[in-house]
Amino acid sequence: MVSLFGGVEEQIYALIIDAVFPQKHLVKVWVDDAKKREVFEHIRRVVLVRDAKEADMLFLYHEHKALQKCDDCIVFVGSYPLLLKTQKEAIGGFFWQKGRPNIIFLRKNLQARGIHLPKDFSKYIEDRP
Amino acid sequence: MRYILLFLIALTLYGKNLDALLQAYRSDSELSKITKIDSAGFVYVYTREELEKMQTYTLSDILRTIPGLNYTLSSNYLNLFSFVSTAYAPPNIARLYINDHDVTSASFGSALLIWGEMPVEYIDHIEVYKGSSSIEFGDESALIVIKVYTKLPDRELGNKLRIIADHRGSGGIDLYTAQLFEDSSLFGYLHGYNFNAKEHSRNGYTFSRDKKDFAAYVNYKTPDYSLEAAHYNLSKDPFLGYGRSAEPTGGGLHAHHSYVKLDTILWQTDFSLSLDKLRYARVYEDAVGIFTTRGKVNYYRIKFTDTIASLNFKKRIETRSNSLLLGGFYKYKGYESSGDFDGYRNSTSTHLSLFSLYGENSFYFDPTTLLILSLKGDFYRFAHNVKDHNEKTLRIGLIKNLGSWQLKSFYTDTYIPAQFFHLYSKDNVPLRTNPRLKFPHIQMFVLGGIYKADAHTFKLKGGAKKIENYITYHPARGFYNKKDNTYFSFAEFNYAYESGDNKVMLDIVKGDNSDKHVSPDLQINLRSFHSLGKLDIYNELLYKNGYDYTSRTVTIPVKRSLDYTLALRYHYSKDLILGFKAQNLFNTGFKQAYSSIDGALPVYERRFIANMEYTF
Repeated sequence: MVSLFGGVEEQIYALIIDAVFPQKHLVKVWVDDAKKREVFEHIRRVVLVRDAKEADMLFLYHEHKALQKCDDCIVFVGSYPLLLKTQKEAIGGFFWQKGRPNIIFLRKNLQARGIHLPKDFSKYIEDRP
Repeated sequence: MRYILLFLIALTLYGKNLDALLQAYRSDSELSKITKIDSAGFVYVYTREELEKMQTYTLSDILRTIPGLNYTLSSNYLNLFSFVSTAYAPPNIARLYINDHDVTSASFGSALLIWGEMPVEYIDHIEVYKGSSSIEFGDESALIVIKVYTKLPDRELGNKLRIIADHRGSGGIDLYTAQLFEDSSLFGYLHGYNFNAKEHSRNGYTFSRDKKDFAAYVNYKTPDYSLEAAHYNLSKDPFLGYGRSAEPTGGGLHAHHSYVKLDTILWQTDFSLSLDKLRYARVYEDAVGIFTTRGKVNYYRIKFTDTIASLNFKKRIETRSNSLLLGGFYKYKGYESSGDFDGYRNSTSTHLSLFSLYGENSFYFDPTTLLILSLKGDFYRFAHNVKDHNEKTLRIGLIKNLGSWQLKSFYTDTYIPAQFFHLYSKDNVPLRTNPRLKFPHIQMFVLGGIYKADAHTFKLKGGAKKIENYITYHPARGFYNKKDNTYFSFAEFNYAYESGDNKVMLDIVKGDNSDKHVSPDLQINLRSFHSLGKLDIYNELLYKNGYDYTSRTVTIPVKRSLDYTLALRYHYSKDLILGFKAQNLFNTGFKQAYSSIDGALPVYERRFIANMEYTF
C-alpha cells in the first residue's frame, strides 16, 4: 500500500501509483528528471527503469518526446504546460498552479486506458475535450 | 465482512490522505524555507500562508507586528521605526530588499519613506532580521533588514485579480500574471490603491493622511539570467506637516522609484547589475511657519533625485565543514537636491563612489557547532569636500545545537553611514549640513536560546547596543555627532504552537535605553491562525504599555493600547476567495504622540475591509 515513510512528495506519488495500479506488486517507472528520480527511488513498489519502453508508467517533467518511445505506457506529467501538450495521452499531472500544488486526472484518458481510480479521487478528475 | 470493511475504510482514506498530503506538501515547500538564513541572526519569517490568512495588503500590515519595534508615523507622514522605549530611530537603520535588490535611497538613506507601505500581493514571503548586520546579504549594512521575495511564475502559473475596499471609501486593485514558456518564465504585476484616512483636526486645521499609490513589476527569467524591472509611484497628503505648531495649509509628498536589475552567474560567481532612479518631492505649507536656516517660511518645497548604479558580486566556496562567502560591490550614488523656501531657490548636486569587499566564513567544528566570522570593508569616496570614510564591520557568531535546544549569539561592530542630506548642501538651506560628520559607530551583542518540543517552540533572547557619535541636529550647530554614548538593551520571549492548520504565536519584549523613554517599553503580541473547513481565521492582538512622550517643550502622556484585528477568509471555490478584515476593531490601538499638537493620534485607524481574490 502507501509508503508510510519518507517525504511528503514521495507519499503523494506512492498514493497515485497505488490508485493507478492497485493489483500490481511492482510498478516499473521511467522519469525524465534526475532530481525527481531520487524521489521515486524511495517508493517501495517502484522499480526505476532506464529504458522508457520497459516502463509501466512514465513521469514526464520536461518534454513529451518520450511518448514516442512507449505506446502502452501510462503517462503522468509534472507541469501544467506539459499537460496541455500531452492531453491526448496523459492520464493526469501533479504540479504547482495558482500558488498551490494541484493533482489533475483526465477522465477521457483514464477511460481509454481502462483505469478506475478509487471514488475519493473523483474530485481530482476533470472532463476536458 | 471484516475485509470489506477494511477495504472501504482504505478507500475512504485515499481521498482524505491526498488532501492532507497536498496541504503538507504546500507547507513543506514554502519558499521561506529556502531563502531564510539562520546564520544571519534572529529572523522573523512571514510565510505565504500567513500573509494570505492575515489578508495583508501593504508592507505596514507586517511591519507593525514585528516584536520589539514600533512601526509608526512621524508628524510629516514618514514611516519610521522606534525600538521599545526609544524615540524615532534614524530612517537609515533599516534596509529593504526586494529579491535581494536594495531599494534604499541615497539622499536620506531609507527605503521605507517611499516603500514603507508597498503593496504585497505579488510577494510570496517576508523575512525580517533584527540586529544582525549580516554580511551574508551582500550589500550595505543595517540594523534592521527586511527581505521580501516575489512569487515565482512556475508556482503561480495563471492569473490573479484582487479587489479591496473599506468603509472609508478606499479602494485597491491588484492583477498579476505568471506564464511559463519553453525555456523561460514571466511574472507581471500591476497595482493601484486610493487610501482614505479618517481626518483629524485642531483649531480649524485639517490633518489628512490620504494617499494614492501605483506599482508595476515584471520579472523575466531564463536559465542564464534574470531580468527584473519595477516602478512605484506614491502621493501622500501632508498630515501634520513640518511646522512647530501643526497648522498645515497644503502640501504633500510625490515620490517615485524605478529600478531595473540583471542577475546572472559567470565563472561560478553571482553577479547583479542594477540601476535605480528615485525622485522624492515634498511640499509643506504651514500658517505659523516652518523653521529653516533662513528663518521661518510658510512655503517649503524640497526635491531629491537619486541615481544609483550598482554592481554586486559574490562567490561561495564550500567544503563539508566550511563555507566561505567572498564578495563585494561598487555603487555610484548621484544626488541632486533643489528647494524653494518662500521664493528663495537653491540646488545642490554631488555624488559618491562606494566600494566594498567582504568575507564571511562559517565553520562547523562539529555537526552541532557553527562559528561565523565576518569582515567587511567599505570605502566611501565623496565629491565636494565631504570627508572620505573607510569603515569596517566585524561580526562573530556562534550557533550551537544541543538536542531540542539551540543557542545563538552574535557580536557585531558596525556603523551607520551618514546620508547626503546630513553631509552636503551648497548654501546650508534649509538645514545646516556637516561634511566632517563621523559615521555613528555601533557595537551590539545578542544572546538567545530556542527550545522545541513537538508542536511547541520557546525562544528567549536578550541584547545590548552601544551607539557612539549619534547624529543629531540643532538649529545653531546643524548636524553634529553627540559626545555622549547611547545605550539600548532588551529582553524578548517568544512562544509558538503549531499543529495542523492551527498556529498561535506570542511575543513579549521589554526594552530600556540611556535616554528618555519616549515610546512604549513593553510590547505583547498575540497572533493566531486557524482553518475550519473553508474558513481561515486570523486574530491579532498587539498590546503596548503607556508612555510619556517628552520633547524640549512638552510632556504628553499616552495611555496603554490594545490593537485587535480579526481577519476572516472564506474559500468560496477553488478560484474565488472572499475576505473580511476588521483592523483595530475596538479603536484602542497605539497612538503616537506629536509635540506639534500637544497630543497623540492613532497610527492605525479602525477600519473594516472587504476583499475578493480570484484566480483564473
